[in-house]
Amino acid sequence: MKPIRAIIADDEEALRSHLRKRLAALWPDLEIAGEARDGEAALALIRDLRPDVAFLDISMPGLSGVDVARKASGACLFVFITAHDEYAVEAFERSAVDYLLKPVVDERLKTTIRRLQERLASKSLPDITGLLERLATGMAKPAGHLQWIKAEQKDTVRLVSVNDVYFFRAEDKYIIVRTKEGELLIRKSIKDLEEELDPGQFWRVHRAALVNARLIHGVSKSIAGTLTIRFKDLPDQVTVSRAYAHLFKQM
Amino acid sequence: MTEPLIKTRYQNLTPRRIVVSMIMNAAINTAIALLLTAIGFGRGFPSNLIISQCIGFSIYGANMAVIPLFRRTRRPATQVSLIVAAVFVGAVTGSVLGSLAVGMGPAALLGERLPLFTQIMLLGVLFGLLVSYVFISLEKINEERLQRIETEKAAMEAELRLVQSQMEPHFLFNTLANVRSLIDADPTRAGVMLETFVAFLRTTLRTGRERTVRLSQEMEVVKSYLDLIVMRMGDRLRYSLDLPDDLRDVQIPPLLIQPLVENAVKHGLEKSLAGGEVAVSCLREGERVRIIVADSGTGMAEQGSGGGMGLENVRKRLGLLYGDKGRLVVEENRPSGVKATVEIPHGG
Repeated sequence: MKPIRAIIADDEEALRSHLRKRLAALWPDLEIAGEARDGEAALALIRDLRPDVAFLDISMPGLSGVDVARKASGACLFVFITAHDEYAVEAFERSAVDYLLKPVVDERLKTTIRRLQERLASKSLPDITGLLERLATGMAKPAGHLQWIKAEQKDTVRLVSVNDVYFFRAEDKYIIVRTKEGELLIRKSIKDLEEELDPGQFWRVHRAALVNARLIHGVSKSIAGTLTIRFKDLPDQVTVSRAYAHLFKQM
Repeated sequence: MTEPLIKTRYQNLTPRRIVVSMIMNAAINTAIALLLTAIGFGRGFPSNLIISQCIGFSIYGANMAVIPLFRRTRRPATQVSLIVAAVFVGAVTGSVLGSLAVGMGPAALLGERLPLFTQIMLLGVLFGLLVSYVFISLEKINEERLQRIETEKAAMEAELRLVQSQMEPHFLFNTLANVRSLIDADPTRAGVMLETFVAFLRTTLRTGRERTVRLSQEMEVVKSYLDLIVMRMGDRLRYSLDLPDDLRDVQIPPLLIQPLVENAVKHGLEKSLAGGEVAVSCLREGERVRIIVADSGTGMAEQGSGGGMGLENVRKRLGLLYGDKGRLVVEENRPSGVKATVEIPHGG
């Protein structure tokens, strides 16, 4: 009978060798055909060696374990290994694939081995496309709003957290980024910037201005009815144009 | 930039506070009437009491009338002018009302009673200003207390978040998994790793209790952290630490540098196939100390979440501890990676 073959992928050498040893002790018939230290290498191993089982660390440099499984879907059975159950591990429970939490414990590994053996005996590869999709979306995290502004200052590129920005003001071809420490420049249209920022945090209050709602200290109204925004610990003020005055109706 | 005289004044004007302030006002007016009667002023307690209440409540009313203006200004000079004006208007109005109420006719006020009427007005202005001054001072003390509590609360929250971030489960379990795997394969190395891990945990947990540590201590934490990561990542990570002898005893808040190093590892190097290098260097520039954490990793993505929490926490703590004198500058490193620079005053 053809021996059952597996590959192990983890970027940490000690963890690979530990899993290899425990598998050797608990499942002597299993042959470890290869080991990889990153996602690309794991994918190549799966394609070249055509193993029956792939043990994949979820967080690896380059391709993640989930990425590898997606690309090699249907090629073999997958067991994911993760340090922390942040990727909704219960999703695995109901499905055909299995997962292991680090540090890998013998008792749990035995269950995994039993499940794998049952699967391999029934000779049916489970359809895990749905699960992989869910995992991938879970890992991508909520679609990223802009978190860091790369802005020029003299001859360096500064990284400014959007939380430190009081407001953006468009001026000619660039946008002035106002932080507590001063002003920086970015080359972008205010419309593009507005689309990239979290709309709950940055409010358009003027044709040429976006303000950080979290840093607003107060809004005052002049006799003429013009609204002016004041900020915490900042002398600058931003005028609200009439078209956006409704944002502050409640205040 | 000048601080406004009062920031919170009148901002939470609830019905309950209005009632309480009116009762206090009446009590103060009565006290003033008693005092004036005791020194033999006026025409006896009943008339003094009526006049005093009239003046007191007129000033109170005038003050209430300027509240909307008060809310709009932050300049101390404007605020003082508003109060003085309100006291004047209130005192004059109150004096007229009070005098009429005790039976002094308008003709008498401008004629034979003019000297007494003038005295009443001046006393009204005097006591009005005095009472306003006392109340504003009390309000200011209260405000400063609130502000101090706010600042302390913010500092504690920042520290808590910091300790929590160090206890990041991924880091914890990965390290433990490594120790576990080394126990069979290489017990000596497992021992070293466990000891390094214990040293790291101990220093991290101490954070909540110590306000400052020596820079050399912080560099020890950084070193134990990097050693743990090197044990895991192997030759994918190289690091260098540079701390000149004359900066070893500089006092800094604990865990100020480690989060920057962690950020470099997590966002720049762990994800990179080729790995890279982290260099931590400290230098003195006049009255300032600069600590630079530079990596050669993939750099930080503009988008996405989760990244840079450590950096934000460091910035927040610098602000709370040093105000404008401490800062964190993050910039792109050349040819790749991120360079984070902490700047603090030498000698705290």
